[in-house]
Amino acid sequence: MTLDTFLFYLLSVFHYLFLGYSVLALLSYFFLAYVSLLECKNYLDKNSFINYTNILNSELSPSISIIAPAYNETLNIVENVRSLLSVHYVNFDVIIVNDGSKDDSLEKLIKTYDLEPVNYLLNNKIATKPLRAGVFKSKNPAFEKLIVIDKENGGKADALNVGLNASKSDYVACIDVDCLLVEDALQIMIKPFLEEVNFQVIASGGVIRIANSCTIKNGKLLDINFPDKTIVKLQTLEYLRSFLLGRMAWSRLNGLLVISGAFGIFKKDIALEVGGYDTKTVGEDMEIVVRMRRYMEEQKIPYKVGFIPDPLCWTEAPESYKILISQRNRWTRGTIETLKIHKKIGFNYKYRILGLLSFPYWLFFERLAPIVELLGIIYFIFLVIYIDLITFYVLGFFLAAYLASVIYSLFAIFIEEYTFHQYKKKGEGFKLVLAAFLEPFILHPVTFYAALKGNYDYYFNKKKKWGVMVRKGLGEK
Amino acid sequence: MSILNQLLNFTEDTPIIIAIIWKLVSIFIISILLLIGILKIVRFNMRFNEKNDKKLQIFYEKLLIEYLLIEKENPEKIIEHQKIIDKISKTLKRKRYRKILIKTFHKTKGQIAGDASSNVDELFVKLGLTEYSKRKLRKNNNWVNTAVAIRDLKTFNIKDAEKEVSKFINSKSEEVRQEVFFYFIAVFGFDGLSFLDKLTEPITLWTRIRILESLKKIELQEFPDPKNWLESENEYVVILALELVATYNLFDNLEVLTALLSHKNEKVRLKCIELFKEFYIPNGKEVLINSFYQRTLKEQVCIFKLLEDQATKEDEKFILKNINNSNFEIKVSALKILNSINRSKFLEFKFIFSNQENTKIIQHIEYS
Repeated sequence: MTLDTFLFYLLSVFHYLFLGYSVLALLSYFFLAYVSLLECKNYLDKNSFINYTNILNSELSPSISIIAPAYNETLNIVENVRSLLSVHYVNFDVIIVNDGSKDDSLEKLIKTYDLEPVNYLLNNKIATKPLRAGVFKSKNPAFEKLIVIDKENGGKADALNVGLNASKSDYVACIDVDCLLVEDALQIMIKPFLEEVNFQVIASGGVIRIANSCTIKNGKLLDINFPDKTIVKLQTLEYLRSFLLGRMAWSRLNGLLVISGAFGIFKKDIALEVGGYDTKTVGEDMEIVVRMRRYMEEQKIPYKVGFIPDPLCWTEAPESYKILISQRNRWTRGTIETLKIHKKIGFNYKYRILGLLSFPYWLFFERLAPIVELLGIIYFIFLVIYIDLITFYVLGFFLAAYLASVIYSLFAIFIEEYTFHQYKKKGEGFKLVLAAFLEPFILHPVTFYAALKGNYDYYFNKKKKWGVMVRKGLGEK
Repeated sequence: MSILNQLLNFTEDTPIIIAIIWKLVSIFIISILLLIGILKIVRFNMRFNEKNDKKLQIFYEKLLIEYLLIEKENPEKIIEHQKIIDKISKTLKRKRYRKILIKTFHKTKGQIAGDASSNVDELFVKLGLTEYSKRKLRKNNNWVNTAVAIRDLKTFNIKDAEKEVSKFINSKSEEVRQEVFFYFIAVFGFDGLSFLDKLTEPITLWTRIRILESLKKIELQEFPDPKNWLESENEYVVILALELVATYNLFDNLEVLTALLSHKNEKVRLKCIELFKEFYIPNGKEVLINSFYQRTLKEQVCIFKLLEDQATKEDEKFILKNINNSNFEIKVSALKILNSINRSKFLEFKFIFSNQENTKIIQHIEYS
């Protein structure tokens, strides 16, 4: 065999590998889109029969603890807590875990909510960093639902674990303190748990919406606007795709591997049983869901991870490229860590959908996607240099990939219009469509770079942890 | 034609994969244009329908209020009534209009009571809307339509639909079953709970909450004996029956209740223990203590919650056995109980326990 023949065969192998990967990825996206459409329709049909106010009055409504870790949140902590306390639900408390803040977050809370130290018994089922100033409750009955715990800094996962230890409720809602919850968020999110009969619902996630440019006053969302900044517009579209197409579909298939750390509800006893959040990973939100699912599979207990597509939780998306890259870098490292920790379940028939569908999908089309894309780019450059490429053929491939991505985004927009129709104002439809065309050129290269950097940092920069997420805050706008 | 020929020649000359790719590109372009067109239409329709629906709703609300304000007894007014009915009937051929009319009726019913509410029910029947609902039930081609039909029959108190509705008691659709339950409760009051006799499907906690909330709206009536439901083969019926016992203080069947502490289903046992905790029921505590070690952890925790309220000095021996229970909640409960029934014994443990966790628990109980 000559060198030329060998090279020819080698190139053919790469051709077909890349082609096969692209076709599989495309087919999986469109399959998920189809499943998602069915699930959205099913959800909306069922929702038309629901009266959530029943749950507000009932003594049978299960207890929920809202756990919100806080670190150096002096800018908005008071307003954010006020917003959490005004959630409409009959049986809940709010546990703010001040994770060793260096600013005056605790002092502000003590002053505003009339807090005093209390003798509170923590069930230290999960080992955490010790308390610092201790546990506080309000002297004012108006704030009786508020518990503030001040502890040594240990990171978000550690703070959540303290919340798990402190909670006396059946369920815990873990949220980011600077997220805005709509008033009936708990009523809606608890519903999947109340529908379990022959299976247990162990966790339920919701859609995270982008609040940049929205009008917020006194912790309430008053007016929804499509963001002004291009980078945030594109992230809005990306979130719609990810939540409405991706997670809805995975929920229907009972293959959901991640619930957003910004807002999710968990069955407390299961979360405690699996040891709470892993403090050694930066993707603690994904890792705990995989661990809980793994536990249920190993115990052979029928279960489900629910997902609610209603826009219940609004958060601030990064407005600068630097912060966006830092965020996506962390998400990449979190995915790699989680898949590595739980590699035993991959392709393992004992874990059923988890091992045979979810894990492989996440491995090939989430974790490996940036690597494959990088190899594809390198391969393409090699071809350009060494082989006479026929422009027409190359153009075909690029156009097909680009247009497929646009169609997928347009489908997400279609589902958004068909379901929650949040962007009603004139012109916003056009902006969404335009975002679908621009995103592959503007946002995707940034997230691609961030994912590559995440891979690099995971293998060669182990010291890198959360990074800095600078937020302006969802205060009055 | 020549361009088409060129295209066809092109696809014949290129490798098959490239030809497929370019065909895909064409399909994608057409799909994108179609999707954008559909999106534009969907958004336009949404805005248009929203405006139109509002106008239609106002039109129906006006007619409905006019109808309700007319005195029924006045013979001259019957003609006006009929005019309104005819006006509305003309619009009912279109499904969308019927939908908005029924929505308006639902909204109005939520805002009025007494005779006015009955008049709305009457109008619903006079307009022939009952027939539309019953037709949907007979077709039964889609769970959404079936559930909507039953909901409408419930809202407008259509008693003569009982036979048709009862066919759906064990529907595979949770939403249809729920609407059946609420129909029976709304139309027949407490007697409507007789559907529990025939129910073989599960009842979720969500549904139970809604049933109990619906029952709250019923004016004082005698509550039926829940004995049959407490002895049902369907454990979900048993659980609901226990909740009814708790809500309406139905303690005529103490033997049955005590027997449920040994039911084969853990959820029933737990619900029963909760009931015994809420209400002091003779012998319950003794039965639970005697069977404590044969029970699941959840039941054991629940039993100790019961004992926090009901323990006496006679139970001290049992409590002391569990002072060092491996479960945190049981341990805390046991110490709390000991503190209340024998404080001096409780304080001895301050010096006995060397474990930091136990010491913290004792301190917490001592000073709270």
